[in-house]
Amino acid sequence: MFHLIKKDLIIQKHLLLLYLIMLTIFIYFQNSSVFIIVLISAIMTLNSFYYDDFFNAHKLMNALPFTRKELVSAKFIGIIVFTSATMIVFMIVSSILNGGIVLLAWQWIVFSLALAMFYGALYIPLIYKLANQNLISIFLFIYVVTAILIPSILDYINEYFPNIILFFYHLPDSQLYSLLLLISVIFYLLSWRLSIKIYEEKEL
Amino acid sequence: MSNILEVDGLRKVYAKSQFVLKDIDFSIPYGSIVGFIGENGAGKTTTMGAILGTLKKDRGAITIFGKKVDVTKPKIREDIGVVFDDMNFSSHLNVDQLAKVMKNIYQQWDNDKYNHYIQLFSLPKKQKIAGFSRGMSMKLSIAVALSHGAKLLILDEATAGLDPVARDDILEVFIDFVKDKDHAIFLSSHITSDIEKIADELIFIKNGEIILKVNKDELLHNYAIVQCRSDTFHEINEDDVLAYITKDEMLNVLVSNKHGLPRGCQISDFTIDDITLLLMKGENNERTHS
Repeated sequence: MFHLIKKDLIIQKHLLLLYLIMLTIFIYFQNSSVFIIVLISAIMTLNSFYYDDFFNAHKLMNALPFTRKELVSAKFIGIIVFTSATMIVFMIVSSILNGGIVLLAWQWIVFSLALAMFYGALYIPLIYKLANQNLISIFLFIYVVTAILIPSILDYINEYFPNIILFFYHLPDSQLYSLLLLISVIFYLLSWRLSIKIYEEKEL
Repeated sequence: MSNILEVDGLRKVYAKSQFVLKDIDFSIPYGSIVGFIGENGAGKTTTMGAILGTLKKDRGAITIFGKKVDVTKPKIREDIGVVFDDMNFSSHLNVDQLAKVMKNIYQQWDNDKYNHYIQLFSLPKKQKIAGFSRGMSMKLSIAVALSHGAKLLILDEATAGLDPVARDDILEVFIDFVKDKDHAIFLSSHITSDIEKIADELIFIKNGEIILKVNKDELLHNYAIVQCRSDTFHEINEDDVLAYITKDEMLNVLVSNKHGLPRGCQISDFTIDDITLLLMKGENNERTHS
């Protein structure tokens, strides 16, 4: 399984420097850490799909000694690996730029993982189902637009449904982030299972 | 156990295109090269896909190395080398980087063997695959298929895009591969001269149905394409007629026994290409001669 994730990394080796530059620029301009961590993790995962599709690798992958379940699972585990790796690199680059050790708060770590999982849970089954390379760009666009719109959405909710914001505001951090993580994990596992089902039924 | 691969009653229906792979039966003995011949869309790739599990079969059993193929147990694919005609590796990689990927995928990956084939096929090691011609990509796919200890090679149009010299080199490699009688090759190709050169057995498929299975030596010694007039044609033993085409007032007939022909039949030299044409375009070719 991890060999498949390693394969996805080797195939994108030529882009790793670009990811690092993107990360550095975002950190330099002090943009949201969660936004950039999840964005890079999503780009890495979506690119792994892009290369599989573009080079007609699905047929080849299915002739290799892996089950379809393993091929799908590698993508889901890959999201967690890519997000964790991006967070580590984020802390290293931040430390270098700030001239001292910078650690991500546990809340941001949980939030980044939860958001990456939630977002991955949305796009992976759709990519397996629709197998359209344009989807990859569409999902990245949706992610960026959503991230830009989130403050406005929160303002809207705050204005018209203030109780919802107040409820979460008064929750202790431990409960709030546990709840967030729990929802994402459940959604992620359901999506994982659905993706396996979709891919197992697919004719290549 | 004398067969490395056995296909028994394989059936696959494509509802949308109404194409049906009709109860395909054949086997590949150890130490043999079996050529799979048919037009585009005849069912060659579908058969291979069903064997490999990239396509779901509707019916039938596939046995490889004496074990029923089960898609939930993919370890068997360690011992199967595959080359698809449309297979492409990621073009950002070079030959060495591809070896790193494959080393992680196949437990029995043999880097020395891989480098041997890369050298034999004169492939540049540091050039990105993006710059490879189709022929070079096919050579690379073949090098990979030969470098992980596979016992069975399944090759779908593996010699397509190769120049005659490169094809000849690769065919020699294939012949060498099966020499120890512990390996076998199942290959399809539009270049029937390649199949004629190396195959021991030939399987002809048309519209999803196997129309002829024959040993190459038997084909060359007993089969013939004959020209005759209509009245002479009716004198040929019906069981010996595999296919015929009417041309002007003469008939070109593929017969399975050239030794018992009536007078008036003129035997002509033939290639497997000629036989393929007759079988694919001719009439009365429903019988399967095993």
